[in-house]
Amino acid sequence: MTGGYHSARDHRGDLELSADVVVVGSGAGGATVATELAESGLSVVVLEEGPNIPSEALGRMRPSESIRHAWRDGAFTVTIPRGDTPAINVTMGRVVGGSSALTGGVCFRIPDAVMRQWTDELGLDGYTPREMGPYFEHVEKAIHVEEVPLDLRSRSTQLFAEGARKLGYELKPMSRNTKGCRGCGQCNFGCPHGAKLSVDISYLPRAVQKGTQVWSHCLVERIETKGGRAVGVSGRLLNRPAGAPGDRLRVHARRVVVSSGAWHTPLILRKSGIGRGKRVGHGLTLHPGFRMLARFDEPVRGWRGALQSAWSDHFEHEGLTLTGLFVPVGVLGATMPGVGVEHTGNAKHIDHLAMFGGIIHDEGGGTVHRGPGREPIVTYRMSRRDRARIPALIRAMADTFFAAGARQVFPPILGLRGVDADGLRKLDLERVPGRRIECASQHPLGGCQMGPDASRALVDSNGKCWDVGELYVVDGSIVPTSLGVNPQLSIMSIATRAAWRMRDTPLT
Amino acid sequence: MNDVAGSRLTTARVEVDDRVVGRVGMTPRMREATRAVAETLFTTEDGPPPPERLAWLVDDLDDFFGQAGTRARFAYRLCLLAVSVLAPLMIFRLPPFRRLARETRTRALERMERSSLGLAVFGAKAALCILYYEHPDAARFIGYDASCLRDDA
Repeated sequence: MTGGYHSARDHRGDLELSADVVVVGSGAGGATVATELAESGLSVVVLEEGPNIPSEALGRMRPSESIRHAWRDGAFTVTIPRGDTPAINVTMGRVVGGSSALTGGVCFRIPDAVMRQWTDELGLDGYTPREMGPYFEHVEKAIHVEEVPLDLRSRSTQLFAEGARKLGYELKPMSRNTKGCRGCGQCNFGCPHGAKLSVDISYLPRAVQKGTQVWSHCLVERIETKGGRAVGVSGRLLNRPAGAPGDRLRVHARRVVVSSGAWHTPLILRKSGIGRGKRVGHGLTLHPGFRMLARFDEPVRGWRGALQSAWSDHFEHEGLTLTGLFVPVGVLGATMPGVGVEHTGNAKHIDHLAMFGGIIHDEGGGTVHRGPGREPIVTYRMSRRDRARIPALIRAMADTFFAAGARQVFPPILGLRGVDADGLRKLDLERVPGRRIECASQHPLGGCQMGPDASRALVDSNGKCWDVGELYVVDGSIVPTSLGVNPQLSIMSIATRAAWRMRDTPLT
Repeated sequence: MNDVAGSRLTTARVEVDDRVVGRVGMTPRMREATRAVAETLFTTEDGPPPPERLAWLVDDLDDFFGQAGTRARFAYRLCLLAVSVLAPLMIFRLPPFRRLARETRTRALERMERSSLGLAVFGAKAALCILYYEHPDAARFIGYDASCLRDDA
């Protein structure tokens, strides 16, 4: 079998492959490791559960088409809330390129304060800003990280910036992995102009050029071990009608890298009996996110411009990061309260809506459980501290929009009609039950946190499993704490670091 | 408006070679219930949406759940079931929702949206709105033109 893209959907009979390295998952972590190792001369097989959709096709799709083909569970993934916690809608990619293909392209280095916590409190080696610098630079160059120019800001973001300035704080420009962006506000669904350099564009083709095989529709169920070391993976090809598991999959490899993300990596490890007694799947962080919509008298047309172009750390001391965004008009429509004439009357003014978002730098309240099918069940209990931050975040965003001249805001509370500034003041946000709050997450992290203590952590600071030889975990699941910022660049830099260590470590 | 932006305002679907084949999206009963909720939700001052637009919406949603998978379909089905059974009961009417008059359905959905079961209405509404407002006529109604900031670049 030669390098290239293959679909297990069309394969008949069991599939058995051999390689130096098998990488489970083709997202930000997996694609980076696969490419770095392939370019060092190793033979690599990448296995992806989702389909392979060329970026050009993804870019031509309507948002709902992208969601049905490339997003896990059609974006219906929801955590089960524990205590007074909102149900959190978690969106992830299930496609060659993983969630990287579906991000807004936002790139942040790991904040210095977070790295200080990792090195000083958790005792991780090699995570000072100086030591991580070369990895950040390497990835930033590979994916063309650039600052979003002011003239690409949507009117929606400009209005929020005006409000922020009036309240005494400034928005900062974001950096993204783009080249030739025309500001279509569609990054999450595939760029119409191929301007977003996600890993399916910037990394995987390089790996394929070096002979890597990328297999779509492959469900990995277990890591195979022998004599205390990983020797491959096994699972099923999703080649039966309706995408059901069919023929057997077996990949023999001298090294196994699991990069299935914080949602699925813990599940694969548990099914394989790895990490017993190490709280695998616990301590998941999500960056619970909340949107604020505001109606202005002037037309806003927030879809015209970069989807995400500006952010603020003004409320960082409260554990809040404000971040610019916009969503498809259909999603905006869903947030418009009312039914029938009232709903369509509200929806008619969608072009007058501005939007901004905020995320909570959360404590790890999530747990990944084995579910009845092949998908995990994830519960999330928001800590008291994080729960108390929701009203503060809602007020901060609403106040900023009112300062910019908004007529009404639509807080993320199910069934709540638009309110003016007086109406917002009268709202007792602290008493709104968690189940009535709309909440979303795009950044599941943790569950297999790296650490220096072999008796407690699953992997070391290079992603190398403490207990099983030649097994590495390289994805968002090893990130030991919440980052407070979008994690794509952080995951890719950690993956580069791990890959370079692997490259320098002879295979068993 | 450039070609790319314009091409997004369409009812057509992009061909995906590696798509999942043979998965059922919605059962006939789900399709009926979906149509009833959509007709209620998207009624304007001029009346309900044209039948052909509702038919397109139901067909496209069927394809959506055929691709998105069993979990998505299960979640949507739960929301739809809650709306079908509980929304009428909330205004002291007998289910199913789809057999009620449109005005009665509107009251039932409104009541449920403001209740502690609002999440079920939101789930159904989200799936329907994402697709419905992609229809070129519905997009035009809300002023969406799919244009980019640098269309002339």
